[in-house]
Amino acid sequence: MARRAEAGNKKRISAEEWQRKLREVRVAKEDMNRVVMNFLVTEGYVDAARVFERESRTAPGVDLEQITDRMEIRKAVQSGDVEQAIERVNDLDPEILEQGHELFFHLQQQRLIELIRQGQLAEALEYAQEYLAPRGEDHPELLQDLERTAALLVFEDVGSSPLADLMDVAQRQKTASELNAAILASQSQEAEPKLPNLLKLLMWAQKQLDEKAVYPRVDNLVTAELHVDGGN
Amino acid sequence: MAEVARQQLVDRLQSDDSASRLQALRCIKNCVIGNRRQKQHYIHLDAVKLLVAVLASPTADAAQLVQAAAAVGSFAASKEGLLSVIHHRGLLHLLKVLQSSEDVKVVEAAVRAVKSVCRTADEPILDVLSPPSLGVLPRLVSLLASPTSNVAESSAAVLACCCDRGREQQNAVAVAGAVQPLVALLASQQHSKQEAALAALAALSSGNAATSEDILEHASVLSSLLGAIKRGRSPHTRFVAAVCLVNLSQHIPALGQEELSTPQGLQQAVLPVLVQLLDADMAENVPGALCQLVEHSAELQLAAADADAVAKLCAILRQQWRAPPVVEGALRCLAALCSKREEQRRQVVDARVLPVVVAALSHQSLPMRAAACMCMRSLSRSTKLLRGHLGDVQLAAPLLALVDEGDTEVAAQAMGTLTNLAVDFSAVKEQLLAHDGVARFAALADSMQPVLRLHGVWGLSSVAYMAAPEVKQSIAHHLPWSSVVALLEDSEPEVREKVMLLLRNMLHSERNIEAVLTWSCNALLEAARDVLQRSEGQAAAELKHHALYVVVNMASSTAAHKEAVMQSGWPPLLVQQLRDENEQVREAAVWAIINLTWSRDGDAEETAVRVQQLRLLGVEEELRRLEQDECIAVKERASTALDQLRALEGGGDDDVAMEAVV
Repeated sequence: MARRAEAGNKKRISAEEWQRKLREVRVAKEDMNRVVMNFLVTEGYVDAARVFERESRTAPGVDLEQITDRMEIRKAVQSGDVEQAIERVNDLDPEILEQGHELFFHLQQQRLIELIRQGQLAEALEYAQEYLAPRGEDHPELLQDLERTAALLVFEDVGSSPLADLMDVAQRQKTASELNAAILASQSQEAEPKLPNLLKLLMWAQKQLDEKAVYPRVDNLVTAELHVDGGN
Repeated sequence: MAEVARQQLVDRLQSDDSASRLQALRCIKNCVIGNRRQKQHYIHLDAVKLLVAVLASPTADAAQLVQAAAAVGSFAASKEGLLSVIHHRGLLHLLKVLQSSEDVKVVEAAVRAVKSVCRTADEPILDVLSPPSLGVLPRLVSLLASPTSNVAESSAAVLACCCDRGREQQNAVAVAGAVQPLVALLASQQHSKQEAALAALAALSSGNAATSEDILEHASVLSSLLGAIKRGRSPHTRFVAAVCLVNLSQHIPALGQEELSTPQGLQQAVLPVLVQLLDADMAENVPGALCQLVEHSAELQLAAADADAVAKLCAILRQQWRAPPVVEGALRCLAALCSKREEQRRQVVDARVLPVVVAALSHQSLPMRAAACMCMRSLSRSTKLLRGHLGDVQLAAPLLALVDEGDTEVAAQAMGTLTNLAVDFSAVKEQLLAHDGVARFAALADSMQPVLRLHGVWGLSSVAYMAAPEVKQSIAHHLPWSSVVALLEDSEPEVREKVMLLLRNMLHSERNIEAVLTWSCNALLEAARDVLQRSEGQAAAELKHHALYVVVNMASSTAAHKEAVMQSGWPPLLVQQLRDENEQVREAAVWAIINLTWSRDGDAEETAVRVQQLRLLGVEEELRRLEQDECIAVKERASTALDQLRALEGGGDDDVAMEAVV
């Protein structure tokens, strides 16, 4: 391997030395716990967050009830029940859809898609006229998307039309994620947990270090085992 | 079909069956949230009135109140919905529910709805803090500690909205105990809470010493704010924190323990942040805030100019998409920065924004016109610009139009600018005369408003400065002598001073003297004398100075005019003025003596008589004393005068020649 071949020019750090250096870095346990809690809360693992709160005495920083709501709203979109999702978001915080024009449009678009998927074409047509069409007048920036969505009503077999992507499950996921991020933002929370980013930073830092030194690496993030390269 | 369904839902709002009513409330709410068109449909069906009725109903349960409040809040998020909500007293009932409900969910829904009202309203809503509603403040304060999403933020926003209504409301908010929890929110991990608290503190501290001092009692405030202007998450956060600091810095004790807790220290810390934010394309009125900061401090104006604020403000003026309040702020800020400094005026002209400023003079909104006028006034103080660039634009007409407006403040600013433009070397002077400037100024000199009288007279005196005889004739024509007499007795010292300046400028140059004497029915010298005598030593140096130059100008003329001075009762007064504490007054008095003792056109005999009369008044002793004067100019003039007296004594009258005309 290339790394091994170049090893001669690089600084070599033994396992013992590495361990000693690691021990010198002090990371407060509370900080670690907060990172974990942040992950549980953001990803919506309410039960785990509750247990973790009890065991580690780390404050979740948000109302855990709201997480349940958020998860159920996401689930509703993922399972195609957009109407229920809209109602629950409005119960949670009416401002989210009052102010988020684009998000609301995407939800309405999804609603239309679901009606078409269920073959309720008359309802779909009425919904498009009553709710979607006026949005184009108020928000011209949505017009193009709006026309594309309305075209769904034209094709007999949407699945084989150029608009097939809209009917895909991935579209549901996209809408669900957008809504989830908006709810998190309304609660002043990041849309992404901090942990994945920290791990990305770890990988990046190791890559930088690989250029200069041979040291015990973390190759497997799941086990976080230190792997000493270069035949030590 | 949809229309029928909507009507049915609205009808069900009055249903006896509470479950059916609740369901209708929910449906309508979900229909209107985020849907402007649906709101319009329901407004036409009078749904808002029925929703408010639910809020007002004593039998409505918590679930119904939550839905009704959310629906009303959604209607209030659109302009037409807000009108309907206000019309049906929806805000009043929301506030009642907010104040008196014991149900957490109901209170939350109500505060969000009230916030929606505040957010949509362009102007502060009267109902929010009419005295009966003040009872809601303790409830709002308690909600600042709510952990539920957006509730603390909503409450802070409503409190900020209250504060915008005026001092009394600001004080009531502080008394209700809002300061402490708002300060606590500044340290929140959630930036939306921080931002809401910043906005509320900015509104609370705006122009109010008492509430500012309340806020400053919390030791952590300044460090939180200083942190926020540097590390604030968004430009908006940094801006609002800067506004807080600008407000607070005006009420902080001058002797802080550390540099950053003194007014100057804080202001110097905020200044670069605001100047930098001028570059950010944000809707907030950054120029207005910067203007508030530098308005009263030459030092901060200089610092802002050094940080290149003028170029940035000019860039804003060139961006046509900017909201009127931002443009207005930029004009005001430029007015402050150019008020005393030629370099900055030059920069404005070089940035080619003069046409924008001129256009703003005729803008539809009064505050904009006023701001443009202030800016133009600062620019018109530059003699270089008056000779050049300002002559190329049509200024006289829009400025004269502003003078005719009802607003005294704006009219005064416009007159101040016109007065600057009216001086002789100005290229705008021609424009001004072409637009009947003399008649308009003369009309203002008759105004009941002291400030307009002042500027009217001031404008005329500028027009008269070095003017052609026809212009002076026009002034005499439009301002009858009786008006001059009245103005010389004006209650305002400044008006008296400027009318004296007018007389001085009118008299300037010998060829005008006869015309002025005719205008005054030969009462000019007496009138000037009376003003000085009436003021019994309390006259301002400026007034005396101008009055003395009336005499100096007269005495520079023919023997007959000199004799008129001698007969007017002025000589004893002149000798007396030689002892005045102001050096310019002493100098002017010596000039008058020099001119009176100067012989020309073979009037040696008359001159000898005048000298004799002055000697009897003790003029020689006074002049000798002035040879030791601390002011060099006075000293030299006194020597000249004495030389002239001595020369006359020796019979010769042709070796010293000095005559003053100013």
